[in-house]
Amino acid sequence: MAFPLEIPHWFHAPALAAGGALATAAFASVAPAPWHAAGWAAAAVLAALGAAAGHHAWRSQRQVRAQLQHYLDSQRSFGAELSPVWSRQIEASRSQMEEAVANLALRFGGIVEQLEDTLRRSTGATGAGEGSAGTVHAESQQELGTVVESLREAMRSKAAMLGRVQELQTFVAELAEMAEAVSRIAHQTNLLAINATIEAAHAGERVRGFATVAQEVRTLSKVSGEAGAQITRKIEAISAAIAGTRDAAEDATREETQVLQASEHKIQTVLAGYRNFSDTLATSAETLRLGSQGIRDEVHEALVQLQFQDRVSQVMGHVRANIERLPQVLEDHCQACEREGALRPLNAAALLQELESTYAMAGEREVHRGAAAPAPAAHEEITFF
Amino acid sequence: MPKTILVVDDSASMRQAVGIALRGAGYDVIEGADGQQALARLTGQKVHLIISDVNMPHMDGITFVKQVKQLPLYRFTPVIMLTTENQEARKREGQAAGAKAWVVKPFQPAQLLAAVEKLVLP
Repeated sequence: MAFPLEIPHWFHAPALAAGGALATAAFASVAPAPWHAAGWAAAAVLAALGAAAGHHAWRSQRQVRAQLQHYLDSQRSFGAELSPVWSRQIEASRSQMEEAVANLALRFGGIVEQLEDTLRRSTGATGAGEGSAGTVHAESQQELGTVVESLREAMRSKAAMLGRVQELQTFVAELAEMAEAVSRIAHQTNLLAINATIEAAHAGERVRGFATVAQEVRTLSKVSGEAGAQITRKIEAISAAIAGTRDAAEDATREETQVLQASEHKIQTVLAGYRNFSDTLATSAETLRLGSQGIRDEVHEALVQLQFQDRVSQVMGHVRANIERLPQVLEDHCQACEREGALRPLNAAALLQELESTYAMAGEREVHRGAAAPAPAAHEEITFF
Repeated sequence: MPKTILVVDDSASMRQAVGIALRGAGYDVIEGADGQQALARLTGQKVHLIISDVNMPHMDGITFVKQVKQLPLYRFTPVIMLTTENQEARKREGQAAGAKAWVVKPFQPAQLLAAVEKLVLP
């Protein structure tokens, strides 16, 4: 649409000059002779001036009209060229920020998951549950205690057996006494048989049979004495064997007792070492757990802080939408100027009102009204309906 | 069996932040980037609670809640609005649509979890 100009005041000069020329010419035609030529000359000069002024005015009008049209076109271009660039830059920044913050949040999420997994495992290993160091220690102590108790039981059985072996020695002593008694009886029987033989010799032929019997008794007592001596020798051998067995058993018991005590001591040492290790591990794990919990809480707080992105993104979105409206507002303004044939002032109120109507946050409204950037929003109470 | 919560927000970082807080508390989380996508996620899915933003493309949070309340399966599913908006008029819109609570961003995870535990379906 071309720009129609109102006729400015100075544009009336050629009309005035033409009017003047006509008036002068009329005056010249009716004036007395001395004024006649001068009148016509003046009218010609006025007409020439009028024509020149008219031409100048026409040229000026064209120039002004072209300049104003150029101005309005430049205003259109201003909006059409600048607004998309601003909009693209804002949108690109907003998108990059959103993407970066989302990735950051994703990584933070991964860190939190890893920390929680570590905490779970750590708690399982050092806590009181199945498979924990404390449980394994208690179970090991119980198992090894059972082994030691089995060894002690074996030692007690061996001691009881040794007691019985020592009892055998008592029986052997009794047997030795019995063998001694047999020897004594055989000796007495032999003396008795010798006396009987002597008495039989004094008695003569009448008791020859008795002498035979005495001889047989003597022979029998001799055999009995030899048997008693053999028994005594056997008992001595058995006694020696029992004593050897007892001594060997006592030696073995002493050694086994020492081994058992040494084993028990080693077991206690190993368990104490394991206990110390597991306690140290538990302390380290507790430190790790507390540290991990601290880091997790920090990450949670960081995630809360990352919510700024959502607010900033919204503000940028509102501003971008408003910037995108600028070309149309400028176009409407240009059309109004062209339609009305006059330059009209640009009014930001409508655009500002549109922008304000899109605000969702109190901080946006405060900034819009000229307040300084608001402090980070405090966490508000939840409203339950 | 963990309870399932639908988180609806056009900001991926917000979905992440909410998701981390909820998963840390033992909930299963499904996500939607706007009202339309969230409605699609609801199909045939048992959801114990919904957390929704208000200003979203394609379908805003208030419209989304109204549509959820039209679905027989989700009529009684509690909804928490999580938004930067704090105007009373908007809160009343949310309440009229069927929301049970209104949380203004930025949220504190503990605060949000307290609201979730209070409202989540058994």
